[in-house]
Amino acid sequence: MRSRIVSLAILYIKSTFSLSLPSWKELKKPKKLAKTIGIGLGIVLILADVGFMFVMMNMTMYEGLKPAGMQGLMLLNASITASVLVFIMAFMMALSMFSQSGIESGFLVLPFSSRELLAAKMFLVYFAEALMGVFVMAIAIVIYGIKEAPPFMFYVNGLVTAFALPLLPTAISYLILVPLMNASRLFRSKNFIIYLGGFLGMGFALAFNFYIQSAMTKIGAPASLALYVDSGSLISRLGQAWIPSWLAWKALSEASSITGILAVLGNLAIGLAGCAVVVVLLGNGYVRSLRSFNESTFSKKKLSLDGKGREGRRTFTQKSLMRSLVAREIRLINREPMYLLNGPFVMILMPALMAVVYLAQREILSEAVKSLGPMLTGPGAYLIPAAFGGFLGSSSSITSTAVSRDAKALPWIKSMPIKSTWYFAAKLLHAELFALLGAFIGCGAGALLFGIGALDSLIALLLALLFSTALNMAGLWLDVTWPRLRWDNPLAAMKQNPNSSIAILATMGLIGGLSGLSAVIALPRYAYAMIFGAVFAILILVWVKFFPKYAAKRYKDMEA
Amino acid sequence: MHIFLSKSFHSVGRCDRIPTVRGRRPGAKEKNVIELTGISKTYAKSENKAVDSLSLIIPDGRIFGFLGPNGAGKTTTIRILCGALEPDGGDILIDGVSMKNNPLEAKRHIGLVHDNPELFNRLKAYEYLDFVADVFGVTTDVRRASIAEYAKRFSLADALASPIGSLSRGMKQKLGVLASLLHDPQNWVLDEPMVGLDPQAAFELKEIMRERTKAGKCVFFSTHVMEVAEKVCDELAIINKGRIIFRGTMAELRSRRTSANETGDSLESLFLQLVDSSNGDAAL
Repeated sequence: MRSRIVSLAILYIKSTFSLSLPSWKELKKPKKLAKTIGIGLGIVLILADVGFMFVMMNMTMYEGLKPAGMQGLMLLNASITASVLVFIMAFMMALSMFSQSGIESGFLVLPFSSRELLAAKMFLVYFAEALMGVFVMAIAIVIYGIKEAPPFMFYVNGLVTAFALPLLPTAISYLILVPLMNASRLFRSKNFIIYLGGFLGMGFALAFNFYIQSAMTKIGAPASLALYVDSGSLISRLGQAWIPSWLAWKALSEASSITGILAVLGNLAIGLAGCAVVVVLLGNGYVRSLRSFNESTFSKKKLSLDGKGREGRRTFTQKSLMRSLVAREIRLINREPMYLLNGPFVMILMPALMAVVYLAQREILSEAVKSLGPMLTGPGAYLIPAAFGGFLGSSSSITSTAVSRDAKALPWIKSMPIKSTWYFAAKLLHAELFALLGAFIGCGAGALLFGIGALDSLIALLLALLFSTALNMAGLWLDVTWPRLRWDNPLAAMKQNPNSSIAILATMGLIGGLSGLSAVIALPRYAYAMIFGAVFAILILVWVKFFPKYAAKRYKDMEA
Repeated sequence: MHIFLSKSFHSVGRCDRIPTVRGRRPGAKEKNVIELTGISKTYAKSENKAVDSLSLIIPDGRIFGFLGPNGAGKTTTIRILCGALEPDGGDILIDGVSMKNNPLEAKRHIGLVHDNPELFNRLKAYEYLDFVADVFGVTTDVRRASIAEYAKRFSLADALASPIGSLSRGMKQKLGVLASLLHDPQNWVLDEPMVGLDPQAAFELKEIMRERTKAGKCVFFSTHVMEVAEKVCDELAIINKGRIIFRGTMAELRSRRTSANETGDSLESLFLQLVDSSNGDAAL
């Protein structure tokens, strides 16, 4: 029989990660097999993408430090990077876990002690971060191992250290968050936590991006690398201040000596002691935060039904059906934090991310912009901003998840006297509002960055709008054909919906393809605008001609 | 005992005959009734028929109860009736308007209280009501009068500015009831409407049902609680495994109890026996 705490921790892990591998029998079904392969490929691609970044970082650093005999500093950098990353991720995950406090408070009726509840939840956070820590550390260890052939204990120490690194960040995350949850009612709202987590996550992502981009720039040049690893540099100061990182470095750099073993044990002892202290001290506080978790947004405001006053005139007033349908679409996506952050908010996040990359690698990118000079005197002057605007305008995932998001309400919607044409038109109109915003931001940013004139900017905006509209229409067609109609968590309709990934990848592929085509085929300056514009316009007309009839049939047949 | 009762039911009266209203057979066009003829439905991911050749006429001026155990096909029938689900076969006429040929017009004759009130938790109550009113083209004056009346009767006035997600199950149910009445539909269809309602709201709901039938309108509601049906219905149909196993008035059901079981079991046990006997073979 398992102990209660282990059972609860396993339950948390299974419910959070939905760990269930298909059986051989299930894999015989082509659809299940294709889905499993697709998910597997997706995971491999993501790991390869992140892994490549760390491989390049470690390789470049090793090659840069080797001539000075300082290659061991690569391990310090890996320890600090892993520590910072697991700290950020542990904090974010612990924060996001509080958004489930409403559900989790159900466990309070079961015979769990407050410490068991907190320990099981902390184990869940630790489990996820340990995987991350091992991944980051393993890359550095393998690279160093291949290059330097260290003793066997190097690998043992490295592996144990990788598992030890997330312990203290997990403890500290709860040390900060439990008192915070109890300090203010504001924190005991699911929506507030999701938004806070979302914005903090984006902030951390931008900061980490900045850190990686800066590091890559610096370690690429020997002079900058010397400053990067200098005793007064950020990395050195972090290494000295954050004891687990310093111990990790010692465990690896002095793996064959007793110092290395002591460093490993020290790291484990600090981490476990930190977790134990938090569990003992904050168990009751954690349960208190669960008990008092309150997401009620009941309004005490009284609405006037006599139509008097500004609000009175606005509420309970007849409006056109289309206006009502579009308003419903906007409200439902903007008020669901998971949808907003993963959908329309991309319009803000993406330019911010680009700005960070630009700031971090200003010198390199300035050179790149200069190298675009010849293109900017030709059709590139409007094609490049149009690509920015087109990508941004079609990346809201509104249409490619439109039906899936409505799955639960579909029977209700279908029982209303609403033509399928109106229903889908409202969804498209909603996406187009954001397409306009995205195209404007993208083209505007491109125009500012490259100093583009008014005529080219206007052409870029028109092209971006046509492109976004065609892509939004294609996204809607996709989600009408293969909607995800059965889900328990609204997140599944957006983040776990293959349609949104397909739409974004198709957008990227199309922009890449058209860019390549424009570079290869030489045409007069504005011929590209006319050809591309005409192609998008034809696609739009084809959609207008065929989609309503197709969608009406699909709408009729949909069974949510 | 069960065998005896089953045989008795078979001998007492058959319900697999096509149900009639005042001697009228389905197919004969008459306005102001809901008429389902030969409706069948098998869900895409199921092998069993959720509704099997179901024919039913629901007249105006009566509270018509639709009973059946869980999974009997009540919600599927209601969804088909309201146009939310496409049947595999059969016809639906709402006040003489075909759901197949003129769905928008047919739907305008229905006010539906959905079985799941947890639909638009992110919308505020007034936004939801305004949306429904806009869909049905309810004028500003009419919607305000309607909302004022029913919000008062269901004690909802103070909740109108709140997000639906912040309301209790019962409050959401009452909001759904209010929304379904905004356009004063000729046919009021309610799927398990009593679930979650407090006694006061349940009383109001029954009162409104009676008021509407007195005004010559149709009230059709599903429930799996015999007691509710017994107190409210003028007429009822019992469904099991997608087929109608009884249709008639409460008096007819009571008379069947007398003839079937002289010991005078409750209607609830009669309902259970009806369902039980229909589980073994074809509909009664």
